[in-house]
Amino acid sequence: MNAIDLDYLNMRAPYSVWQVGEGAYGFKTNYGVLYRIIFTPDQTIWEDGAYEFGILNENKKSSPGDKLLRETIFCIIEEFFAKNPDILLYQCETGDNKQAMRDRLFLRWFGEYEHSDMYYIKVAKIIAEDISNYAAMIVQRNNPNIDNIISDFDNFVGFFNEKPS
Amino acid sequence: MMYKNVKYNNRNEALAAFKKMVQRKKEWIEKTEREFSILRQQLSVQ
Repeated sequence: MNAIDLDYLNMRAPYSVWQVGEGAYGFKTNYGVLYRIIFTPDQTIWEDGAYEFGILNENKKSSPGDKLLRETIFCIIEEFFAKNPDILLYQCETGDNKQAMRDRLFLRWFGEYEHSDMYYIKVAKIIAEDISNYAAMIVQRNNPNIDNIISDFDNFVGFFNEKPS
Repeated sequence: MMYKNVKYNNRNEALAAFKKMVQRKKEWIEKTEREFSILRQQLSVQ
């Protein structure tokens, strides 16, 4: 993964962002909550060119009213795509059984994001071992391979629509 | 960039790959929670 330009990012992001490690970025909200945004290469659907990202926070509570939080996360995602014009995957954490709520919140945020028209987002519900998982794919609409990328994602999640043999 | 997809022959193969993805995320979460805890301890000492 090509590193995000933190100087440029911090000129735009409402919260100051720092690098924590390779592909990991941190920031602290006005409410004192620490966040980590993590990008890691993922070879589940493609051999190369896909990254999973995660949004982790210290208190595991959502902050739906914090617009600066949402803006900061989208600034980070924009900067990621500026340096890595590839595929982002996102799965909602299932440990506390609030994955459906996280999925709805993320989609609502994305819908309110001013540059959402630059991106194609697709969410799939994947039931594995009786647990409902929500996985999303985000790709820039100007990606020249977008049709194949969508087809690959659909083919992968299509396995989970089949009845187990 | 060309994106070469991983070939799965059946649901079980795809499920095994997806379970690995879920497991990796669990490991990130655990690692990050440990880091948050250390950071908070350091902040409370200061």
